[in-house]
Amino acid sequence: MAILTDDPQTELLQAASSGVSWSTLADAWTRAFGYKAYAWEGEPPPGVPISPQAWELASRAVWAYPSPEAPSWVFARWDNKGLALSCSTTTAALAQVLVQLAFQTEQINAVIQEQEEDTTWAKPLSLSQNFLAVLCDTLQTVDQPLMAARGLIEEILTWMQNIFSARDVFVAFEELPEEDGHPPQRTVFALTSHGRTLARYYLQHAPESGQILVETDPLAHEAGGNPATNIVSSLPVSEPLRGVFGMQVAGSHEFSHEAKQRFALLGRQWATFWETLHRYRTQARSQRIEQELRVARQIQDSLLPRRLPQGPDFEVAAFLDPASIIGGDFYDVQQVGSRLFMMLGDVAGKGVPAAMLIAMFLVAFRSAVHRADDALSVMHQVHQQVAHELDRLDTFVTLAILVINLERRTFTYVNAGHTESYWLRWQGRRVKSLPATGLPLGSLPLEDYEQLSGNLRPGDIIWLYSDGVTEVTNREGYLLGRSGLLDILLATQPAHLDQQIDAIRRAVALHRDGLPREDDMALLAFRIPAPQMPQLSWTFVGGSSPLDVSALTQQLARHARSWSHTFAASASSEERDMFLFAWELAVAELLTNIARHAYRAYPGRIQGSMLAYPDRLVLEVWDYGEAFDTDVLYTLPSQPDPENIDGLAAEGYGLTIIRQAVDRWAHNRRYRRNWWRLEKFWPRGRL
Amino acid sequence: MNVKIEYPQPHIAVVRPKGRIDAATSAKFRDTLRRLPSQGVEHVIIDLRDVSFMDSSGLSALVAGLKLIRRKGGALVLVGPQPPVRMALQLTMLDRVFRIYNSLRDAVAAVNSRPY
Repeated sequence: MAILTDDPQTELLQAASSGVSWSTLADAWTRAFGYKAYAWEGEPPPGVPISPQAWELASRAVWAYPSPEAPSWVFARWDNKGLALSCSTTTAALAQVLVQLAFQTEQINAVIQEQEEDTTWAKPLSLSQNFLAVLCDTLQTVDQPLMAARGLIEEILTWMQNIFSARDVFVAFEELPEEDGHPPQRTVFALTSHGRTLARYYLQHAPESGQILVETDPLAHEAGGNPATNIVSSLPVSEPLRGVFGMQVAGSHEFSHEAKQRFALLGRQWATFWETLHRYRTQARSQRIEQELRVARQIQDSLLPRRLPQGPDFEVAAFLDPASIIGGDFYDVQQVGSRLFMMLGDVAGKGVPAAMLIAMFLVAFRSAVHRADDALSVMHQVHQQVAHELDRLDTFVTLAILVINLERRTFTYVNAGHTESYWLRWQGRRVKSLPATGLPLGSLPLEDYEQLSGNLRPGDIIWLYSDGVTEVTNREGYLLGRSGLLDILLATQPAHLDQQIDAIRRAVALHRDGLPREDDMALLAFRIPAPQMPQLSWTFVGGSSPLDVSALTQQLARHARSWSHTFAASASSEERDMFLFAWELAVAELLTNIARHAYRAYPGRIQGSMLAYPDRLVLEVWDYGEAFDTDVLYTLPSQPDPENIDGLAAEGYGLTIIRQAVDRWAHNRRYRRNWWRLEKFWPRGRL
Repeated sequence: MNVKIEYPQPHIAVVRPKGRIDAATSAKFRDTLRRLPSQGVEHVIIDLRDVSFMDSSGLSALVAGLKLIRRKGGALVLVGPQPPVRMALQLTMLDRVFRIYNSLRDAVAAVNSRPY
């Protein structure tokens, strides 16, 4: 056997094919994959999940319990001997092959023992080992396994010809197509051309499974009229595989029971051979499909805008996170002159067809933006270009298109069945929802869409997103929902858009809490900068436990320290330190206060942003806990009296610290949220 | 934060917290102080030299400890608060309430010599 690899699967096959004991095989299995395996004589040992009834049922049998959950088990029983391999979904096919091989080895041994005097039985055994050698060799080249095995298969046929003194030996393998209307794939091996003709004939006229057909050659006239007898059996394989194995001997011939038995045994070996090859080839095929998906993903990635347009008078940010290799969400941003064209959509379905459709949308959009000046005309042009394809694929796409006129600071907006978008007004921090203005593309032929338009003011943001952002379920079954998304958008509104996207991602991850994500997630945002934009920002979303509060305080302190080198560069290191100590104290007190009072009854989320302006550092925090008792804020604390220790307050120093440590602070209640703001001027040093 | 307690004299406990005393750790610190009187300790010296940060929950624990020890007739004093902790004491004007020493030796001498 010319197989030596460092592949544990092949080594196992090698072990199984060289007729090792069942216990050696069980050991090798556990060593190669770490799955439990047992070999025993007598009663099954504890740990083997098989009922006594099942064990009693068959004295010689191979059976498998395939299960989508690991471990599955496959068993073999031969008389008093048992073999059980546990396996994962990926190792199940191999486990079945091994158990089958172990079982066949016993079968061969048994036949030999029954026929001890007849030395010709040694030949089928060596043939069997040859079978396994072919199997192991061809498994290495699963792409064209039968062609790769051609030489060895023909060698086996010649060997059989010698053993049975046959005129010809043939074997034919057929794989039925997955869909009707395609021809089956057929591979035929024989020693002569008449053998090949016979193989094809018997694929058409196959004997029933388990039957051995012996008949006078019905095609003798094609072979010069020489009378001959054919012995044929169908390979015991299951769909989509079929196969026949047969031989022809000269003249009129009777086959003894033993000869038929031997013949049937060889048929079973061909069957195992063919089924194993097919299983491996199917696996290889699915790996290839995955590979194709990966390529499609690369194509999709390369189509998505790599760099977003940038300008002094606007800010754009985007994020796309597909749930599987190829998702259905997509976006694009194109700038043509003073217009910014943005789209975000969701194709029903995933995989390669979705990727192709997305590619079409991107191409259609990129050509439309040069011939359109508002969202409605872009939508019409895109729709016209993709309508036929949507119809053909019988699918639909939701799509939101936003066109900004940067000069006039106006926008137009059309939404074909997509999730609503949000327009966050800077003034008054108000939210306006921009709903769908028509049905998804593909629902109706060239649907008429309504267009929304509006005037933007500095600081206004428009968010487009896909429902994968909001339709995230937590362990209690609650969605993050629109209110969860709006919480983040409002809490982090002054921060840079990419920081806001970070906060959304963190909120989604916290909400999911380790549960697998089911849908893609896409976000696209546009803003006209406010006159006073922070130069640096950092967003946060966290819990309200003491540990969360402590960790968040320290993170905020670290960012403040690193920013202070830029914004308080002229101050002495002592001044900077004093500033930072005071800041950290104020932050700690604010967060602790929220955790203890707003979230007194139940834990909740603390979210917001820290913002660096040229003259000051700002912290904005939102919580959705209980309303804060604002009276407390405006009550001046009594000064602690060193002469009256017993009268000293044990609590309530937090608000004093906040008041003393920062230059400005504010509390507000809106949208049933507490909104806090701390401000402290950077130290400037002694001028 | 972790806390070590030493007894330079049988009736004096030196409490040495290390690290941050904040929302996550102040409960432990408070408990440590609360248990001291029942252990036969009269005076408590809190060595703050290794405390990098203390918020109001830590201050509350100090005040609660002070009131408890004072009621038993003992003294609770502080040693060597670092700038961040000193700032917390100053902002709340608790630096006027606590006796603060620069060295452990001064603190031990003070609690032994002064009648409380």
